[in-house]
Amino acid sequence: MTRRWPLALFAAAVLVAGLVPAAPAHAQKAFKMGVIVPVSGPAAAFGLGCQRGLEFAAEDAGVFTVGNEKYKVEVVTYDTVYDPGKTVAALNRAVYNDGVKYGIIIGAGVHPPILPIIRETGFLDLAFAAAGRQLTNAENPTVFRIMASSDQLYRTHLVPIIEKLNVKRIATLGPNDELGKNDAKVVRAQVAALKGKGVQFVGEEYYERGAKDFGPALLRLIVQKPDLIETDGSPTGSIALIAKQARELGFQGYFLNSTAVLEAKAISDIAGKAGDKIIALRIWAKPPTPLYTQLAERHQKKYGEAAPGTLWEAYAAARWVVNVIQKTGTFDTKKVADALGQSTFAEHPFGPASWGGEKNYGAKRQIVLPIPASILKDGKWEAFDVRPGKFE
Amino acid sequence: MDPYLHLLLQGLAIGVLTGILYVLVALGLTLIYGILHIVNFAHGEIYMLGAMGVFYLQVVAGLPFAVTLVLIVVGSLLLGAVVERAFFRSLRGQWLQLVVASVGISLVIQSVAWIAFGIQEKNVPSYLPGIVEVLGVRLPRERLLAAGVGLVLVAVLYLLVYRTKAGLAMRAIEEDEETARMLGVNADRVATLSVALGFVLAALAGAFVAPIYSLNPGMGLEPILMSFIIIIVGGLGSITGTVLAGLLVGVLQSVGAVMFGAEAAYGLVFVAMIAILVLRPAGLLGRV
Repeated sequence: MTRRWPLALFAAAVLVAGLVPAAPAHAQKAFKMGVIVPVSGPAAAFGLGCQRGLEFAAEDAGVFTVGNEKYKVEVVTYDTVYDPGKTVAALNRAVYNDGVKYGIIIGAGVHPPILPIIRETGFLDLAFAAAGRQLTNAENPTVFRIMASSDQLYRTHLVPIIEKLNVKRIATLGPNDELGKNDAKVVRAQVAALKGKGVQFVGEEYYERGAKDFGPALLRLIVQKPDLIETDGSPTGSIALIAKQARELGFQGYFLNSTAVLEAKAISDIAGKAGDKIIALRIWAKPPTPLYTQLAERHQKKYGEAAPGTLWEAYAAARWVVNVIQKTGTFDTKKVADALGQSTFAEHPFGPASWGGEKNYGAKRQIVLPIPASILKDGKWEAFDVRPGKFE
Repeated sequence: MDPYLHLLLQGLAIGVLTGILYVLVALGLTLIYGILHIVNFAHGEIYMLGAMGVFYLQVVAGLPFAVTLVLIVVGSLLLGAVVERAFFRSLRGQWLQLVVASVGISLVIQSVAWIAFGIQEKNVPSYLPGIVEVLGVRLPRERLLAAGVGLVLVAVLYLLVYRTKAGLAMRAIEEDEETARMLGVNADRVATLSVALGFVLAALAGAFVAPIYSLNPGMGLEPILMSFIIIIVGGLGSITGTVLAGLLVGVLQSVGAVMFGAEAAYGLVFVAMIAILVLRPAGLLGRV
């Protein structure tokens, strides 16, 4: 008998070891949130920021209760490479194969072919996409834009910038996709309203995303003697190269950019002094909240590099949705969408957030939060302006 | 000077410099295809590794530029030899399998690179900062340097292929591998040398282009597409054809953009390329 003691103890230990991890798995279910974004290719920085933001949100949300069941956020990533066809395939896989009903989808350009799927399935899309009414409107009640839209950005900031810097001639150079063309359209409209004050729109050029040579396009614009070149949603690498190459061609004026992913150090590393006078909308020169700082530091610690600009908005959107699901007690996306549209969220890293856009888009699905503008000087962002981003 | 003429001259200058950069990137690809008929889809990733090599060895580790270049040459030479021995050799002559293998190598390198190098854009300080102004046309010195290196490498490659014993062996294999073997050419060794040199050319292109552009693990994609267009239009395997096609694409793109806008210029380049291939299916200097 004595000899059997070790065996019995081992068997008991195996049994306990087998049961202990099994217990929590039964206690909580997975609430799958999709990250349908580019995590490879030229737009990967945008996607990885969203993925990591959602992962942080999943950690912070922990186990939560809906009805009588306990849930935990499970982040499922689908690489779209910023390609409409691959995004369609990814969304179909997420919805029909994996049972994902909520998620972040990046890109105004990839949205047109997926909107019918979203409408048909009721997928709750936390769209990280520029453009305007094309996405968030009464026909797409489950599409929420979690970043400032192009119209919102330019309506909020363009006129004050023009007046403050005494800009008279504006040109745009942007990517030749939906985002680039839509931004240019909004800028044109804003500038047209200032015609009486002598402000002119003097030219527009477009480039293929991932392009590295902007010289010829810049030449065409510079010959029109602009005071400011608006660069739409160009990412860090592109805006830095645009600034560098424009200065090489003799341009002395300002640049304006609307993207969220602009690393000051990376720009000045690439462009040096040529990066000065880049004005960026949605970039915070000073952290607006302690949560913003905490997330930035957490990212730096975990990944050893500065956080991509999409991290904070993705984090907030996921936390906000989980809060609303808990309050409504259901995962029904249409009921959650209705409740989400009426809700506010005080814990957004950028400041208190709500939804607007009813008047402009016909649906209260556009996030409304403070929108900063910063200007690059000696390789550092300096605060230029912060405006409420009201959108009615 | 008339402003429009000045604009055209500036566009032409940008086009020529950009064209030489295209040639610089496409050289290794044309060498490997020309000798072994292997379409190396991993070429863009080797170019990226060359650029990243400069960043990590010179900028991060602080090594002198000459030492950095030597390490890049040795590293890419070894990598090319390993890839040839491990993958290309056993698949030689099997076009489809080689395509799959080189695409696979490309994807593996890129995936590992995203993990190893991270997502933030990187930058290498200019080797030769500043502008040279000639008749009002502004030329960045760093581009002039890269163009100069490109021209030197073209000359070196030309001499290697057409004026050395190794080059003779390469051309013999390209012509008829079986006969070359019967005449005593060590085809395997020549194949290893060709792939290794192709890798070195790609890595050197990355190293000299590094200060001009920003770096990220996906940076090889655009140049590889442009390189394929250039080597096909130039005539597969033709060094002179590659140079002509590179310059043609660069100038068409730049002058076309200046005259008709950047978007129209993309179309213009492809229309011109299609027209060339319709008139000369083997490319500008390719053999039918």
